[in-house]
Amino acid sequence: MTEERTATIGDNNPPPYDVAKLEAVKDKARAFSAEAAVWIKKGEVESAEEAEQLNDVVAKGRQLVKGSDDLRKQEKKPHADAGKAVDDAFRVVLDALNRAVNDLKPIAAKWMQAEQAKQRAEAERIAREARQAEEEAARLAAQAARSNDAMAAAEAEQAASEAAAMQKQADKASKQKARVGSATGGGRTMALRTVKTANIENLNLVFRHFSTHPDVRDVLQRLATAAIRKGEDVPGATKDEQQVAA
Amino acid sequence: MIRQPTPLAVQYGWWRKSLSGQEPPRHEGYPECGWYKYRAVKNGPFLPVRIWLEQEIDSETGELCADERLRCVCLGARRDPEAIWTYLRPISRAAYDELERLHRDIDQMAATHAPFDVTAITHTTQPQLWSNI
Repeated sequence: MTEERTATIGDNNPPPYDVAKLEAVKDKARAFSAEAAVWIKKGEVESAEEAEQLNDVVAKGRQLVKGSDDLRKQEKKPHADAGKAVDDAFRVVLDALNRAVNDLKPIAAKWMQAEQAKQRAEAERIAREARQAEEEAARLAAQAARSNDAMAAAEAEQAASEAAAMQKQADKASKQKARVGSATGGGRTMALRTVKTANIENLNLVFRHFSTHPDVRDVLQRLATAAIRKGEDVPGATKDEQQVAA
Repeated sequence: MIRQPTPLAVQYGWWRKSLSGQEPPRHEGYPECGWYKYRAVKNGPFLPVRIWLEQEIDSETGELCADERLRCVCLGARRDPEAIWTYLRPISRAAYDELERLHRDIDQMAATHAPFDVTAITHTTQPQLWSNI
């Protein structure tokens, strides 16, 4: 019998870090956690000696944090480097492809814009004709009502139904969008997409509109904190100083 | 038997209406003459389909000698028009000719029952070459 461990499921797919090293720091963390729990339960320091002891515990904790973090960085480094190498290797290709695609898209967009303009003009023409047909039908109906002519009434009715059909066609035409399908069936259909962005003309008005937005508050908080730390005065903000153990 | 042949305007009426964007009703089991495209599988290449009415007309009387028969061809192969009718999308004759040309020129489109990968096209994608191959 050998002392070698029996191979088990997952042996061929080990985690991407040194398990033994991780277990070692885990043990240390567990021990430190238990040690810290005693102090946390105590909650306060009663003498200078105790304060010094606590300082050592904190220092130990800091060193453990640093050691564990260094180990994390060390374990991660080969993977991060490999990832970066892959990114670098593919960047040229991806950049070139993306640039080419981005150069092609405006050509299709130009065509679709021209098509859309044509479709709009056509839709307007159909709508105009539908309106005219409707007016004509109304005129015929009024005329038929005045003359009590059954034939004229039937004609007016027919004109009205034709006008309704034209109106339907006009509605449909107005909703039509320019598209470019695939020649072979392999590509997806391209269409124009409306991209909306705000163009800020009056910053103060926009600011007033969003003044209660939490994101605005976060940005101002960051700017004001930085300014106050530099020693500047910020109107509307006061300096808040707190003593924390360092 | 109806002896008068169906006029072309009637034969291609549905297809013409469709192309002009009128959306005439489509009835299952009643294919209409025209030029169409469809995919045999999801994301597969477009396949050109032509449906026409075969009429045997007596040259002297102008009457039908036999029943009119609907014929359907897809890439040179006879197909049952009723079987694929509901999958067909009407296209112009020019688009049909162009699709047939693409099938002639792009070998990868021969795999009609597999998703078509545009990156597999080995032709150069110069626009003038696409239209002049």
